[in-house]
Amino acid sequence: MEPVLSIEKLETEFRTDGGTFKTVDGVTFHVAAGETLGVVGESGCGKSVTSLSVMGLLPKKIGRVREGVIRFHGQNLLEKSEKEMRAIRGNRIAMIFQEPMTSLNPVFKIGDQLAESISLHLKLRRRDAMRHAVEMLRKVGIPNPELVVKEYPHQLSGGMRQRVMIAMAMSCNPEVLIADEPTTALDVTIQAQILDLMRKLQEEEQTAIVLITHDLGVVAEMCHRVVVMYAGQVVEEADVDTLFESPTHPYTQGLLASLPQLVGDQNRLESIPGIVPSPLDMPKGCRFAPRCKYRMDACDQVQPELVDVASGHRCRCLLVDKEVTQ
Amino acid sequence: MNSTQPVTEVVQDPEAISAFREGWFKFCQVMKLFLRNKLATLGLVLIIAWTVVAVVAPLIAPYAPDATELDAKLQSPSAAHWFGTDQFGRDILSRVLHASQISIWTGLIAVAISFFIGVPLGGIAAYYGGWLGNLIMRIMDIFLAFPSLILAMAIAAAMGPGLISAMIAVGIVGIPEFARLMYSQTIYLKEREFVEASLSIGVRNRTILMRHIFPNALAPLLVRITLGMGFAILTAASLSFLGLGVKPPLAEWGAMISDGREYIITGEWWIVTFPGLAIATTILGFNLLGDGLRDVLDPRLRTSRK
Repeated sequence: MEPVLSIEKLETEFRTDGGTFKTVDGVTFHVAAGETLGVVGESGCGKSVTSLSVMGLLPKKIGRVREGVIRFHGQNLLEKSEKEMRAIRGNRIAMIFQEPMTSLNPVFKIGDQLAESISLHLKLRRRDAMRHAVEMLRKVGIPNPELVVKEYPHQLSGGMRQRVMIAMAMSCNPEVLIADEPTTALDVTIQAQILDLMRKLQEEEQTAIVLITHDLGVVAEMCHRVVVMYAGQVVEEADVDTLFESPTHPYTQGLLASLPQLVGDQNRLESIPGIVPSPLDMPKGCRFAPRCKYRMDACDQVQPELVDVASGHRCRCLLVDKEVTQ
Repeated sequence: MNSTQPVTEVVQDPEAISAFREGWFKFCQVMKLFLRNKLATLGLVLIIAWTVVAVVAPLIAPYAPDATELDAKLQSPSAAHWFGTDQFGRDILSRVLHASQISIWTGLIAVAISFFIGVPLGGIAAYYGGWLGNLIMRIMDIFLAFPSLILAMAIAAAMGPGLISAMIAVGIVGIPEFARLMYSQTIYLKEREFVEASLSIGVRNRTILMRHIFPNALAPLLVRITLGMGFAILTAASLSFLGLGVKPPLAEWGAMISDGREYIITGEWWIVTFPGLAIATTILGFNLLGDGLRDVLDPRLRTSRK
């Protein structure tokens, strides 16, 4: 299927007093209509920076995209002006944030905040925008939406607020929805409801979802394909079944091994030794090498490339790189 | 949560009625909290009292403010002249009452100048930052480097003495305070997720600053407005005392004190005392109200208050 959004060799760098460093280094992935792509990785691996690069919302003056292409329906978003981006943001590409508690403006009523985005992009009059807002709230399963539009954010619970955020993001029928850890701040039952809701809306509207998370359980439940990121790079890409059944990269294996198992004896959870390397002091060879249990001498010298393991399954590891192993 | 909220009225327009009730209820809550604070209530009473006086001054003043009665000069307080008379035989009570109009207008206009220039400057400086933000805030620092009264005198003198130039001078002197307050509020608010969320739905920066950041900064600004009123009235009175404000024979508290100061030694205390008391009570009112508002509007203090 033709991808709606594709990112090619994206490099995003941040300038700080300590020097300039790349937080995203050559990330490539794509997502098609109706598909959910999971982007997995631990904190600081560049997941959120990738999504902010797509939205054009990198912190001004310190963050910038150095290289790469972000294609949305074939057009490079990086070449768009700020005005053109404003017309795309919220309208055709929307985003849900991690913190539903603080993502709503405390001094505005729910309805006014929803209507803002609606009247901005759909060019509706206030009354119609309000009606649309009520309709969206009903769609995301909020009881008594006519009353809720008149309430302030602090009067809603966390799950309700995340529903409002989803309603806001979906109100203009975006083609791409970027969800940055949408359920991390919520408790488990609410998590399941929110994920169900996202899946239901996706089926109705054929939205392409980029789901950024560090929760492999959420990935297993939601995603069609998965991209695993480590230290700013994609280390493995596969469809969700392949990833869980035959993970190839040692980092992915480590992540899966650290999940609690329901069957068999298990006293302690596995963990990956060591910490993520600092972006100011990246290893010369493979970035995962210092923590890898299969480390070879070559790993410290050669940067592995992302190579095809099977159709649609790619991995960045010398163990699978045939050219090197031969 | 919200499903338990009952809709009590079902008349022609239940929405409007319940919205009105909700608003009224919230207002009552804030008022209740506010009235618990005795000093703040005293402040509010003082300000309301002076505002009423200013409005009805021409009706309740026993004499015209500039009516001279040469055979009744320098009389001590009596039944005919409750606050006594000055060296031209003018009734002090009438003059004090009339002067309240000038003082309250001065305060309002000066604070309006400070607010409408200072708040946008601070907001723009903080939101856009960079060299522009630096330039704006360093200029504010230069203003703050001068003692406020000296700066007000310089500006008023440069524009030529008069009531209008006193108002403008006091207004300009107040700009940096508003700019800095808005600056700090904006720096804090612009990093909040709801600003990022608004950006992500395509709202333009201008709109975010005006519609999302400014209303969130209103509570501290309101406190600053109240305290600024007291400061403006006092500074304007000081300018008049120094001869840079209103021109005689217009009644103004600072000018009245200035006129009467040489008579203190000879025992005619009432000429300066009553305008002085008027200034003191007005400013006390605004300061108490400002402190009270700060307590009520600050949610962190609200929970701990008994």
